[in-house]
Amino acid sequence: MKCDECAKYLQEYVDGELNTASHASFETHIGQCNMCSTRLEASLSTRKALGCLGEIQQENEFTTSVMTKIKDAQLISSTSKEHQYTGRAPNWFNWRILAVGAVAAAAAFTIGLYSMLKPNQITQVPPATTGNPMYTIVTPVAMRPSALWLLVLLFFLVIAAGIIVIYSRRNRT
Amino acid sequence: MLDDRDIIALTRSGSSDSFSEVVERYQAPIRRYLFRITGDYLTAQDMAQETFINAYQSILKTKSEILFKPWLYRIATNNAYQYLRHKKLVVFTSQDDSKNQQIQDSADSPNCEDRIAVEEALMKIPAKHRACILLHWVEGLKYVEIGVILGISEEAARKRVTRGSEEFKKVFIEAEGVER
Repeated sequence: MKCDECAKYLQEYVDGELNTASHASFETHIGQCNMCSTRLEASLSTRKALGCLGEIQQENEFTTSVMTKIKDAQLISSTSKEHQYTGRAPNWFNWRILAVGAVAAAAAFTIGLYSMLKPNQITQVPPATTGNPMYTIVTPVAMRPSALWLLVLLFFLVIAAGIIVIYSRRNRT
Repeated sequence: MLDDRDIIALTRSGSSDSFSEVVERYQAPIRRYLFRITGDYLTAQDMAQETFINAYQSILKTKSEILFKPWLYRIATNNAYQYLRHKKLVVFTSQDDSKNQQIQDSADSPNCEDRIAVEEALMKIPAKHRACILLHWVEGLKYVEIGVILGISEEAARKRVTRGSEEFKKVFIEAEGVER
């Protein structure tokens, strides 16, 4: 038996549920491996120590109190859907953060886009250079490299914010 | 006696009274688990009530099949983590330990001194490891169920239980050594 296998059988061994063949193989490995032997000892002593913790007794009032709160919440939700009792911070808080975040992201995106635009460069070309009457060259709009980096950074920030929002909503249940 | 799945179906169909049966069934384990994680009896009582109310509302919101027991522990664990995170941010105030003492005195245990040392050692290890060893060694849950509760793999749950047990043993032995 190898250490990985030994770790998988640890719980069954401690619970006395390991079959005879695996039991013998497990004990042989424990006799030879210090690391697994230490793990087994830690598991056995933790189990024994936690076993001496006191029990908490059943309380009749607890169930009555929970059911009363649930019924009160149902009564409130039937009279006003806007004020549902959820037993925790109301949902609008997260939605407000989301809305503020979206507005901030949109503002930052607009600023970033604006900073990408460089004013048109106007060059006056004298007649001596070209032989033609004086005319104007207009350089088209161009991107600034720093603005491009800003846009990339904003993109990742928006993705990160999205992941955080999804993760926090999933953890709520 | 109805099983958890039948009670969930009845609750979804509008019978809120049937939910009282699961509250009755799981109130003691959930209160015990939350008390061991938070170390405060009154907080655990309030949190357990909140856990059942959250569970009831979530049952009505979702239509997918639920493994009720691990799912209930998951809600309880999330509430406990939220409380512990908040507790870190606020200034410590002196607590009234009379209720905790009452639990310790009334508990049916052969050695009260050991129990206090165990509870103290338990509170000294990180919350994520404390939750794992409580779920495994006290609540009797399998690694796969702990994985579901904590949103981690079965292998990661096994490693956390092993690491938590090693940490607990170290802290417990050190505490006993200081006392003697």
